[in-house]
Amino acid sequence: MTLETLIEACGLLNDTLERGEHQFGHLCRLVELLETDLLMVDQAGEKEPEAVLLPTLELLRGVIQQQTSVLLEHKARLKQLMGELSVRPEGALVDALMLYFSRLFAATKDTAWIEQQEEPEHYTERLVDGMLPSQSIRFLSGEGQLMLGKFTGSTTSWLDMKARLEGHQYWISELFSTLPPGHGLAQPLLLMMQATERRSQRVEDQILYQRALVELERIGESMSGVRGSDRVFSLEKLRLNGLMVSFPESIMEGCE
Amino acid sequence: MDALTSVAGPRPARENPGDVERLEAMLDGHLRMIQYLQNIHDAQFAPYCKLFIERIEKEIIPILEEAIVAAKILMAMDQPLPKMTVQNLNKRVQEGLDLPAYEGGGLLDP
Repeated sequence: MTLETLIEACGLLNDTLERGEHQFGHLCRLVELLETDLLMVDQAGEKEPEAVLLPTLELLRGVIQQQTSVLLEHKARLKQLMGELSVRPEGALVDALMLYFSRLFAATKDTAWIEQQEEPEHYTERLVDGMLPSQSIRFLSGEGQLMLGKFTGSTTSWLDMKARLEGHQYWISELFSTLPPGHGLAQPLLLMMQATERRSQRVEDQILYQRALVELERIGESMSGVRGSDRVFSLEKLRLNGLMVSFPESIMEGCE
Repeated sequence: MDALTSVAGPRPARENPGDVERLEAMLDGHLRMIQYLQNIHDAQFAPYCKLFIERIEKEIIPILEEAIVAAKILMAMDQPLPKMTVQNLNKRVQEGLDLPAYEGGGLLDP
């Protein structure tokens, strides 16, 4: 490999690492928003969070942190390599760093080639620690970033929360589908998907209770005066009220 | 991005409209029975008639009225109701349908 080719490869790798770092940041923000929403649903039910939720979140955050730290190490070493190339291109340190980066250079080159193909999803990328698969990066930098924008509004009703949880289910499932089997993020994402589905069901139940109450009021009015209707409606409404929980008031950050 | 939209549930299955007719016919039969019993003034039978009337009024009519209301609710709903509510209403309908239709008052004996 000539010096010029090497510098060009370093530049390509640097761009890839920059993009990766940026997307890990987006992913962290998505996970934070997910955590807030899931805990809000748990809080509304006046229940302790499921025993499995917090460890799963920790696992997910841990994988992201571990991958990000590897990525930062790659960045630091790449900076070192580029520095060495400008002063001592024939030095022993360059050889050592080249060895360190051999898989990364190959993976970056492969990925760049795959992305140029007509159906890139039909090719398998090399799994390298600290690097997100290119499909994951594409999702996080595109739709994932748009999803972040969607999550910025405040949540004031169960209907809002349902939409948010559907959004979370969407990004988790889409991101999961971009990961090759065995990727470190796959298992915690799958567990988070299941945790989100359980909360989504609880939120749907609350919406159903609210709507059912309105529906019973409507039918009740049309049947007022019918003998026995008071007894039936009052009991069913009482039962529904017993199942309903009010939406928790959100606490603004920095306020108590 | 359609994930961040509103909720739309499936329409509920309708309860059998024949239930209302059947329950109303049963109620009508019992109300006519009360009328019939109220017209018996023979001192020998009057106390028993009064007892029968009380039992029909307290133990049968309310259940049938509630069953009719429950069946009508199940027919009138435009939104899906919670499973628990539907089960409760179906149970009321069934309790009404399980009552004896008036067949000479034999089942009303104390």
